[in-house]
Formats: sequence, structure tokens, C-alpha cells
Amino acid sequence: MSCRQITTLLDTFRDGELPADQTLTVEEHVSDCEGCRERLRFGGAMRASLRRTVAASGDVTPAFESRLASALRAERERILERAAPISSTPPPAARARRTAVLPMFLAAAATLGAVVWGNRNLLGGSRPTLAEDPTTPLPPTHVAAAVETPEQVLDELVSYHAAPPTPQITDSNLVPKLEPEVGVPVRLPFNNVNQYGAKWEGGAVIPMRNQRAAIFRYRVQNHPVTVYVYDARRVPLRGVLEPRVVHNQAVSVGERRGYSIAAREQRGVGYAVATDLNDDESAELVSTIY
Amino acid sequence: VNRAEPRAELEDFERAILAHAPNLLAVACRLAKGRAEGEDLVQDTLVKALRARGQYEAGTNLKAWLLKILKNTFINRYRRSGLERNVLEGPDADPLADGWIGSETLRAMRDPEGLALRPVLEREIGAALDTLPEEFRMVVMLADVEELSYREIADLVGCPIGTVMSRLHRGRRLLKTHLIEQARVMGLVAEEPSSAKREEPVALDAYRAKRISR
Repeated sequence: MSCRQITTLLDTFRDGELPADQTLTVEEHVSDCEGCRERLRFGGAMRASLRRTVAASGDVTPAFESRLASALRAERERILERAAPISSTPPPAARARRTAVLPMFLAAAATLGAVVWGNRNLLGGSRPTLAEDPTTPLPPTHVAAAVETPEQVLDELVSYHAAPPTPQITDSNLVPKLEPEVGVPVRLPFNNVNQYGAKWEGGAVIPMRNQRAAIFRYRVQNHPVTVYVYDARRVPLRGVLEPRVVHNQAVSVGERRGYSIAAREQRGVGYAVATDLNDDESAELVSTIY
Repeated sequence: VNRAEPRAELEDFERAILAHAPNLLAVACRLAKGRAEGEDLVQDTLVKALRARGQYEAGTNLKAWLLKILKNTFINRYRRSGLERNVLEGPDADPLADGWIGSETLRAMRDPEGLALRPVLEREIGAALDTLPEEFRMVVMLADVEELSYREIADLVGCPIGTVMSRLHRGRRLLKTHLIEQARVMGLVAEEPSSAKREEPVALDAYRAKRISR
């Protein structure tokens, strides 16, 4: 065989996929031909460099590892929950506990009327940003490509609420920086949270339905409140939630695994809250966003 | 079809698939051409794998199975049209002879020990990989980085082995060509590749072919 013919076999030879007879032919030729030996060496060098380069991008950071672990944990719990008899599903927040803790909140909202924007110092001094604590393997990030129905989206939302992801930002001034990732305007949902006795805890970006959503965590009188901001076209929640009007705004409300969820759309942007409060309170909360 | 499944079994499976996260991430970042997209892709893949664990046949290559889910997720996510595939699966436009490169040129490009490309060139290989059409990139990574067999790649990509070989061949050749271009730009090799004439006195056919083509 000529060098040219041998050359066409060299890659397959190196891959160990050549039939035995051709393998022998190549071995014989290569042992005699410096040119083809060089081609073989070059192929090997290229592969080694390629392997090293590609493997370098497979460096799993502690933050990503923890994100993966919690995504899998959330999925595992979902699988177990579906497999288990209905009666054994533990309500994460007993309805009894969901007493009206928001009267103050509602009263404040009513009194204030319009939400006051612009004061970005309400939440106190800025804390360190981009909190990535590898030691807290928590967040139940969840994904969207796999999510098919709006019902499953609700499940996703609730999972994020039940076990929130590690915050990417803890300084509320950085909220607008999430906008490019989410692709819709992202601002602090409740700017005057202090008035409600609510505390900002942090924000993150989560994958949702082949895109990304912003997620914000608050605490209202010791009740965790999760706020989601997303592209409403991609996440149609109206179908599975019950429509309601709050303060002249169309809001949809529903329940999932003991949590209440309320959603609202405005100019193509979706806002949702998940809480262990009651429906009215969640609806009220979502109606005060922006 | 959800049967009650012990928690421990799920946890074992989770551990098994998580162990492949670095491999998946390496491929995903290259496929999606970005770290953030790559991470999302891996997360999607692993969650889907957990959901579809019943479809995995114990004893078969778990990494190959995961890579298959990753590839499908990637295609779905980026809405690959069938058009590109048809183009890629068409007859090889370039004759093999175009891939002919003198061995001196090749020698100049790799490091003296032959263990890798010369460092200055090695930095280019990631960029070279990114220039490959997606289907070639996939196959090259599966073979050269993940070391899957042709059979496994064919199964994963969903095409005949012959197609795998053709894509692999063309992908590697494109990589090589790209690197040689870079090497020339950097002055590592001469403008013209050294002629094949000197180095293969016995290859008369090749010699003639080359003469005729000039």
C-alpha cells in the first residue's frame, strides 16, 4: 500500500477499530516509513492536546456540584412522592399554620397605595456579592427542558421554594444585573419590603423551560416567600391556576404540595410568588409586585 | 408506570450518574460553546437520566447512555433542523487528497516528545474545535476525548458506523487544517507544506497523483 492509502487508515488504526489484517498491514508499513510514523505521532499529539483542552472545561465547581446534587435530590423526591400512596404525602406546610400573618402586610400595602421606587438603600448596607458557599449543598435547582406541562412547572416552582438555591447575589443593588440572563426586565420586586416587615435574603437565576428565570427570596414575618420573574410566553401558568382579580389586576392563584402560588403577567413578563401563606395573601403579594 | 422504588436505589443511581458530571460538562461546554449553557445542559441531562433510569440497561456503558441524553437534549434545546444533518451526511465534498500534509510540517507542529502539540499551538485547539460543524465536533469529542468505540458513537448519534467514520475523518482533517493554518500564521511552519516526494520514494501511485494534480 502507498503512503497515501495508509494515511487514510491511520486514524482508524489509532482508534483500534481496524480489522486485524489491515492492522497488520499498517503496522508493517509504519515500522518502515518515517513519514507515516510522523503522521501517526501527529494524530496522537493532536488527540492528547484535544483531550487536555476539553477536559479542562469539565471542571465541576463546588457551586455547580451542589446545584446538580440538589436538582437531583428534588427530582428524586418528586419520583418518590409520585410513587408513594397519596395519603403519605406530607404537607410541607400544614394549612393550620397558614394563619393570616399578613394583615399587617396588607394594611401597609393598602395604606401605601403605590409602591415607592428608587430608594435602593432600604435594605441596609450592601453585603458581599456572589455568595457561593460550597459548603452548603442545598439548592434544588430544577430544569426546564424536561418539563412538559404547566403542572410540572408549578412543581418546579414549588421545589425551588421548598429548598431554595444558593443565592448568587445577596446585595439587592445587583438585582438589575440578572436582567441579561433572564431576558426580561428584572428589578427588586418589593422595594419597600421593610414596611411589610419583610426581609430580602438573596437572588439567583434558575433554568426554567429552556430559558432562565430570576428567583428572589424574602422572609415575611418568618414565612419564606419566593418571587419568580420570567418570560411569560414560555411559562404559561394561567391554565393551571384559578383566575382572580386583586386590586384591579388579573392574578391567578393555586396550590401545590401545601404551598400557595400566585402569578401575574404584565407586558409579557411573568411574576409569581410561592409561599406557605394562604391564597389571598399570596395573591395580594403578587399584585403588589412592581 | 411509577412503581414504588426504594430511596436507596435512587440515591445509588444519582451517585453513579453524578460521577460522570465532569465528562458531560466538558462535552457540553464545547457543544454549547459556553460554560453557563454547558452547565444547564448537564443539569438537564442528569435530571432526565434520573427520570428515565428505567431505560438504562445495567451493565452497558453508563457514560455513553448519559452522553446520548445530553446530545438529544442539546439538539432539542437548540432546535437543530434536519437540514444541516442532511448536508453533513451528503457525499464528502473534498477528496481525501486534500488532507495530504507533509510529515515535516506535522513534525514542526508537535512538541519534540510527541506527547502533544507545541504549547503555542495547543492553545489554538479549543478554537479549532469550536470552528467544526456541530456534528463533526460531537463525533470527534466522543472518540478522542471520551474514547467511545465507533459502535457506541453510532448508537449514540443514531447513524451507521460508516457515517461515524466519515464524520470523524472529516472532523479531524478540518481540525488539522485549521491548526496548520494557525501554525503558518505563527511562523511555526513554512508557507508551503513540504512536498511528499522526498519522504516516500516507494509510493509511486501517490507520487504520480500528486504530479498530475499540479
